[in-house]
Amino acid sequence: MEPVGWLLLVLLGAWAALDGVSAGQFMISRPLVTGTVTGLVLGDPTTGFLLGLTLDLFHLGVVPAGGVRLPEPGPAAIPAVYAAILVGSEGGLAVGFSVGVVLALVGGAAVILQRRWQGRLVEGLEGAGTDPGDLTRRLLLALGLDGVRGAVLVAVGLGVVWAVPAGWRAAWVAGWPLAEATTWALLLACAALPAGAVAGNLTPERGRVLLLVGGLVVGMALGFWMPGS
Amino acid sequence: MKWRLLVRLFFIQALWNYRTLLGSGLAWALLPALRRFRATEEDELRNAIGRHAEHFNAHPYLAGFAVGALAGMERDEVDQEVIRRFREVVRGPLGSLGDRLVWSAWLPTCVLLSGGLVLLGLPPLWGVAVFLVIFNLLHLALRWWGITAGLALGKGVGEALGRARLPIWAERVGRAGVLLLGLVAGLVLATGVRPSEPALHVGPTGLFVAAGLLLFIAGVRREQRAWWWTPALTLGAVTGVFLWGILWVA
Repeated sequence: MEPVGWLLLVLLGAWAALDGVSAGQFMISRPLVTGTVTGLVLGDPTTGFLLGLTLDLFHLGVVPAGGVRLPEPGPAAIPAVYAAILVGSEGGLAVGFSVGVVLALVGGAAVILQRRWQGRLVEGLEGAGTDPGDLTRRLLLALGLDGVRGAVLVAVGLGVVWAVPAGWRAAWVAGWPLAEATTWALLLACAALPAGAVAGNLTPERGRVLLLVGGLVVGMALGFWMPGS
Repeated sequence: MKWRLLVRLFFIQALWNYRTLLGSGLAWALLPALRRFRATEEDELRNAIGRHAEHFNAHPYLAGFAVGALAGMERDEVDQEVIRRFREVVRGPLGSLGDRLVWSAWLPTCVLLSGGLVLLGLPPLWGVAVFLVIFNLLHLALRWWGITAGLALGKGVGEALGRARLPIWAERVGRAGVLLLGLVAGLVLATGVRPSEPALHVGPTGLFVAAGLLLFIAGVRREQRAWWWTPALTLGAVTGVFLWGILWVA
């Protein structure tokens, strides 16, 4: 990958980290988006989208309500797609997905540290207050650190994947026994449990099973009759 | 004033922390209003920042209702005790309504719509564009509506929220989302992720598809509690398949 590509992906990581909580929340931070953009930068947006979508389904049931501890899958999808494309073949998809799952947990832990640090940053604001300039400086400092956190997470993730010797990557590809469709079936099976849990978040109604089965039948019918299937 | 509050609303979570939650961000978002209505003396502005920096929570997209209403109440020189009680009363509903409508219903529905369209043949980049445009239509509408209604209605903003019947809309969106979840699962089952490679056949693929179906049903039944052991399951499955490939297949 060219240095410009590295820079773009690290900047995307910073933006995704900021978008996740601190700034905007336009959902640039979804793996669906970061994965596709990474794939586009690396010349394979389809793999980027499909891996991003699978990582998104994996994390979709986790609702960021009440400041609970959460994984951070958006920036993690960037090294994940990079790993999938760099390693290549079916084995690369499995490696990429695993990288995404692990880095999402690391990112979530980093978010916890950032929030604790911000607790110290705002000390003294309540009650006594401060002047507007000081408040703005503290906010910009927090934004800057969050962006740097995302950039470092992605840079380290990309660096680790890049540093894996080519021989190891080749050995992984050679040792991976599954065809492409089977590999996707494995990864989707891993995402199936949290994706199923989304149904309970979407609607607590008992009738959701009927809707789910209805959608399943329509989806299968469309899938079988779709041109090229 | 409205635009300045709206722009700052996008950064209301920048100082999110476990002690005051959104409080410090709320004070920063309110600065244009506090400067205009409370800047007669420097101490008064500092005190106003201190009051608004106290513990506060809301869904970030619905926080506009609080920001707009608090700016309107400062403008109308409403008693500080009334403002304090208003902050306490609105934070629960603004949090739970937003979580239910946006995080639990709208976001998964938009992701599933985008995924479904791409599985049906839409180019991936268009799929991402559809996701971002549709998701942010509601996102931006909620932010704009919140600031506008808050500024206009002040402490009466709760009535506007109540009239909008957001829980009913969340339920409707949620039902559409469940339908889409089934549709995406059906598409994946019928075609595999890549449409040219049918996944529903015997052998290892069929085994993983069956396992996926069982896990999917378990997820539907167990809901949120199911999430935390799935990373270990994933890493174990990938490592296991690799070892199987090295030790037996090769």
